[in-house]
Amino acid sequence: MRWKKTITMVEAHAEGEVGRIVTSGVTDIPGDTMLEKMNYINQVDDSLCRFLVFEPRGYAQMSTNLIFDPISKEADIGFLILQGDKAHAMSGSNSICLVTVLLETGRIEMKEPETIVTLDTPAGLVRATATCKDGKCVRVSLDMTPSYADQLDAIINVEGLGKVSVDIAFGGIFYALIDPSQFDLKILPENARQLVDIGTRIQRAVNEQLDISHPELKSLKGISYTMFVGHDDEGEMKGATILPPGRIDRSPCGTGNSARLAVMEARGQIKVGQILKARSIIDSEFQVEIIAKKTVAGKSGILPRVSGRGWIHGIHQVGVDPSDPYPLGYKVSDCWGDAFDLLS
Amino acid sequence: MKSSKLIHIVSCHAEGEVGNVIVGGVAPPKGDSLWEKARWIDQDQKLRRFVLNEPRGGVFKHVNLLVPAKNPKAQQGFIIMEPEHTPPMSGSNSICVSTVLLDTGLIPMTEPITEFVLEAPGGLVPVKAYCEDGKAKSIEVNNVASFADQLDINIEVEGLGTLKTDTAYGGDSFVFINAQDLGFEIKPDEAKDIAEIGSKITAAANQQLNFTHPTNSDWNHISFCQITLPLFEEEGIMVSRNTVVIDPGKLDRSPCGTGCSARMALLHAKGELKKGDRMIGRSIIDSRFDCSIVEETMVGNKNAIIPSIRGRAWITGTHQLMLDPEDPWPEGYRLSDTWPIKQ
Repeated sequence: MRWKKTITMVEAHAEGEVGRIVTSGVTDIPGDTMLEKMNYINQVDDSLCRFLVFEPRGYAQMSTNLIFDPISKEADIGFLILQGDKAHAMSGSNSICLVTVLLETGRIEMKEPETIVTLDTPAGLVRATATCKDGKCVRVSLDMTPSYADQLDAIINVEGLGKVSVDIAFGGIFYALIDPSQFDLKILPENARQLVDIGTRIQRAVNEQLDISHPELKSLKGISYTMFVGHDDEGEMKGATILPPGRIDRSPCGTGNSARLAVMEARGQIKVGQILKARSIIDSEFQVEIIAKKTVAGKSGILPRVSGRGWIHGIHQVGVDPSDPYPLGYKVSDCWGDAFDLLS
Repeated sequence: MKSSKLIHIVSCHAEGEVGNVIVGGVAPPKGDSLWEKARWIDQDQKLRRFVLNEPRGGVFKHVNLLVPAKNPKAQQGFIIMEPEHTPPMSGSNSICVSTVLLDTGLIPMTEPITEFVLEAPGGLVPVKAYCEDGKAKSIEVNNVASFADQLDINIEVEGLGTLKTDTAYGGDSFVFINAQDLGFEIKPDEAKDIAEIGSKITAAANQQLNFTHPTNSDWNHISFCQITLPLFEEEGIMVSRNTVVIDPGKLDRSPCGTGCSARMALLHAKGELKKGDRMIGRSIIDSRFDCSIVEETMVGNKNAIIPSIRGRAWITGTHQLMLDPEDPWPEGYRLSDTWPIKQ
């Protein structure tokens, strides 16, 4: 066996969504801040991203996280999230995987009953509070980006679907929130492909027909994701975030639920301090709450908090044989989906 | 970190198709023969779900379990787990298994050629490995006896109308369709559409056509739809550009060893290839198998061939799969966005 590169990852999932953590084999990425490191991968050299994420070493329904010594003195660890399209700045489920792996493998010392871990991300510092018991990281709670409702009950025309009503909200990125009962569809695993198809069509229409921008983050235009928002038979919140080019978040989605909480607050459906259950398409669960109201970019908004559980499910060493003709992998539309036009 | 399970895997791909190999951590399954052991794995489902379902796996993977050989002529037995089936044989998986055995030292490597025999559930598979500088550069397997079954038979497929098909066996059972009848050129961006249509064709073929292996009545269904372009010539050798739709709806990234074997059996039955002739298999990602007809033989009362398939594989990783005893999904989960529902 000959390898010219070896990278070790600890694999975990947070409420069903896989986040692999690279623990060795990547020393550094050029850049003086996490944002510069992310931009380096997205603008200069994405070969590491392709190597780790594409087939045969990766697959569509997961993320791979790079960790670094933090730049900010207040932080314990820096990290970036690699997905099939590019490197991303922040993700709730990946933060939960990261904190679970760091504490359960001893990279950061676990203190029971609670360990605070501060994450240095391209989107800023994120404070994670881990509940720990008997050597296990039982739950990770995250204070998310200040969020606000942007447009309620916006009507758009969607190819093949006619008039569709959506709410637009910011939860770190912009979302269109969609009530699936408009299409007589429930958020269930067997409906995943149909939800992806409808969600991608709505995303195209929203970005063509609605003017969406953040007053302070000028580079952020339009929605990044759509999220179906409904309730299950027990009356609990249930959601499904559609991730282009063609899959659904297996976790309830941290940024999506932040946006959803902002809309619920704007509609008077939730009070500060009220803790709700937010479930995913596979019935996994985050606890979500609004910890305070906060003005965001001149708009009435909220400070959201989400918490969930992570589990380690493997250790993986990936390598590349010098004669392998696919050192940067490949993706084929049967497993990756085909809405490549929605990738920014 | 707590784990109630530890399964050791060497990850590998043969010409783009992932065939991981379990090298430790799983007790041999029950059964007196490789076939019975494979049936046990197929009915039990627990191991397949653990290694192939999310979060540990995905529909694009196959996982092979090494088991002791039962036949004294064989050095190593293996059982192939595909997303849906536990087949008699697989070309790309036998190439991955051979490469992992040699490159990790489980079978001693002799350069320039190492010969040994694998035992698949469907029979013995003689292997000739071409080795150089400590690497198994390419693997030639003599596949199990392959035969054409029904030629030029029409099936009705909802939304597609009447399609002319052939059926054949090459270590697994296939229904064949001309890609041009469906308007496909067999390119990666067609993959999602090909997978959906191919799954429908496999389902229709199983409703309208019968298939039973003449000497193994347990194998009585059509596993795959193979979509082919008409043969063309490259360097004086016939080229079969194809893609095989694997249940429940993903495409083989390799040219498919059993698929090339079945196509050669068809071409032999139609008089287009004879003993000794060569054929190049080309996949949807343009990877290549070098194939030939080694022998003519019989399976029951059917004329058959012994095909050989030669291709390359590369180790991509080593993997320890674990299970936190508190993980709520010990057998994982599947969603229809990336794991289609079987038609």
